[in-house]
Amino acid sequence: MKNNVAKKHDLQELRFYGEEFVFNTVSGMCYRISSTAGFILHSLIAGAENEQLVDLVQAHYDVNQATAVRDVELLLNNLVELGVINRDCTP
Amino acid sequence: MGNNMKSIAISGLHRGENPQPGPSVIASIRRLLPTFRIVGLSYDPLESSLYSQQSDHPDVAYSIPYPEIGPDALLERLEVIIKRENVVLIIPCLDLEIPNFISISAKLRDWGVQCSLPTKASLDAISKSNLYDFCHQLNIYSPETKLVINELDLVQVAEGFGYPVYVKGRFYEAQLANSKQELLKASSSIAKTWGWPLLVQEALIGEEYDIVGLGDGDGNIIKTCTIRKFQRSSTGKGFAGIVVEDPELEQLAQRIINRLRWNGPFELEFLKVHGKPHALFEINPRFPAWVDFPSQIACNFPARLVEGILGTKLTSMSTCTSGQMFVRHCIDLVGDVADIAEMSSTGERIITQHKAQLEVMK
Repeated sequence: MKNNVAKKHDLQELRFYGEEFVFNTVSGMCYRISSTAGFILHSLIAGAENEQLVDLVQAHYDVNQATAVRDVELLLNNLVELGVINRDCTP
Repeated sequence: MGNNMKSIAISGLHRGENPQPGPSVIASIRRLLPTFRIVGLSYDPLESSLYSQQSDHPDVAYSIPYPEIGPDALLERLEVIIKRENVVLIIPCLDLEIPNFISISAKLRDWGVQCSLPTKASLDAISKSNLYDFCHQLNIYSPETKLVINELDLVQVAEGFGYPVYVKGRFYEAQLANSKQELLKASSSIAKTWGWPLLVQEALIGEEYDIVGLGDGDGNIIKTCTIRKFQRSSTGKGFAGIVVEDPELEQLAQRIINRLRWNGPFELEFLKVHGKPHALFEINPRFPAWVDFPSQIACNFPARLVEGILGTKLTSMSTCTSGQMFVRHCIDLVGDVADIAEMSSTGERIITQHKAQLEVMK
């Protein structure tokens, strides 16, 4: 994955209520997300880098690498599209 | 009875579909300062808070002349009310009446009555027709807005902006127009009520953020509470809001209030279009209708205003935290046609329910 995802301060804006409801304390937007998306967000908040997300998903959900890569990419795109996180693009 | 108690006079007493701030201000003041008598300044016998059984109704109501009649008529009427009710402070809650109150504020002070008002200069600076230029001077993003004096002007400006556009009355009302046809229909409707000139504003579509606050008159903010409107009525009024903590919005508010040297209550209204800075599209020179929400979470702006102006002990104001929210609820109030008759005929009405409560308090 080439793009760095989410500046740290953007993640600090997020507040979880359970695993599947997120509130952005700055924008005031609320989101229902899947448990996998929640897992990815929590991993990012805990300091995981892009490259680690695939491994983490693979291990947590016991899926193969291709599936993990696809799911992480899809979920990150979804989260960016919804505005839950920003994407800080680098070449 | 009322003569011994100090009174605060408050206007804008209708909560309806387009809620006015008065009932919210009354409820907030009663929450912390229940010993004040509340005098309602009423424009219509059907203003809903006159029928309320909760804490948001005045103890007594007096009719006052419509703002367009002018400040002299207002002063004449207030002289009677002030003497009878021992009014020490007036909190105007409607945009249209504020210029009249500014005109008579010196006379009111001579009578020992304080009035929470901005200066004329700051009020002019933030008028709907001047706001765009004010923001431009501060390098704050604002939707472009132009004053139009007739339909030809209106259409030309709207086509210059490109549809959709907002057409607005000088003080109240705004309608979105997606075409020339809608534009002409909207302008006709607004002009019928508020007259020409009108305003045309480029339409920004995004999330709305509102900030209620108090300025100290020296360029500083005493306190603010910022919400995102997350449920709106069909007329765009906020029916649910949630507190946010956005440093960018706080800085914008600070810059605006500092430049204006704003005195008293204000509401700043912003739109956030994705990928663009916050756009300031309106400044209201009074409390908003949702001001009782922060009052219920220990951040009471009206009470703080009263304490500050009258020089009494200041109650601390908590900071509203993100995630706290309100949802507006509408109920049916019971009244009697005799209440309308009394107000229409005499221009005065004692709200008897609360009179009984005040007797118990004494």
